[in-house]
Amino acid sequence: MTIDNFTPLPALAGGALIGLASVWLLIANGRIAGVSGILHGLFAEPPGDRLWRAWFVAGLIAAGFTWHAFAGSAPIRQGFGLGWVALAGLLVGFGTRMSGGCTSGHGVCGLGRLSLRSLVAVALFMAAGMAATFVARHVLGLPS
Amino acid sequence: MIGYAAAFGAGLLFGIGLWISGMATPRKVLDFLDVTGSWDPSLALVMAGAVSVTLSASTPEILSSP
Repeated sequence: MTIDNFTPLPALAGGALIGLASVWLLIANGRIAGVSGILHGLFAEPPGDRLWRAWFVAGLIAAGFTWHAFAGSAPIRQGFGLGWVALAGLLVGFGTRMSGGCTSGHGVCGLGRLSLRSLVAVALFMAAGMAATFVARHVLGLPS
Repeated sequence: MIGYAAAFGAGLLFGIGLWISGMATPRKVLDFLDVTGSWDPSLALVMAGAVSVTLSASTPEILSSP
């Protein structure tokens, strides 16, 4: 193992903003900021529970455009075409629903509430992600 | 209406945090998961930063709910 691309300060600062956004959503709307769950509910919840989800997702997308405007071009997934990226996104959605939450819902919000269920979920999906990455990068030799 | 504005603001702040932290870059997430290769621990610090905020904002009522 080598460590040569560690960015601790932006990571901590960005993480703090993510935490603030989660606390903000909980205080203002009484909602847990689990991104995969919010996106899922946008299609699966009754119509009356959809609009705030749409606004949250719109904010996320607006952040991407804002970053693009001030910091330049966005990094893309190298070595794969748009079709593969779309398929990967589909798998991400499927996987996060299977685990009942993602790094934001189980990770940031769940761990922040000292939820044992979330701790187990985070440990397991991180381990599964590491195993999948090992196979993809070092066994199959897919581009990274 | 206030709720929708707050939801948009939360999404915006969340997204800016994702970009600042580097987690909008697929490569950085993959490098975190690649513990046997050129490991990038940044994602762990993003979670640490975020959880330290959510944890410090947690009230006894929130912690006792299921």
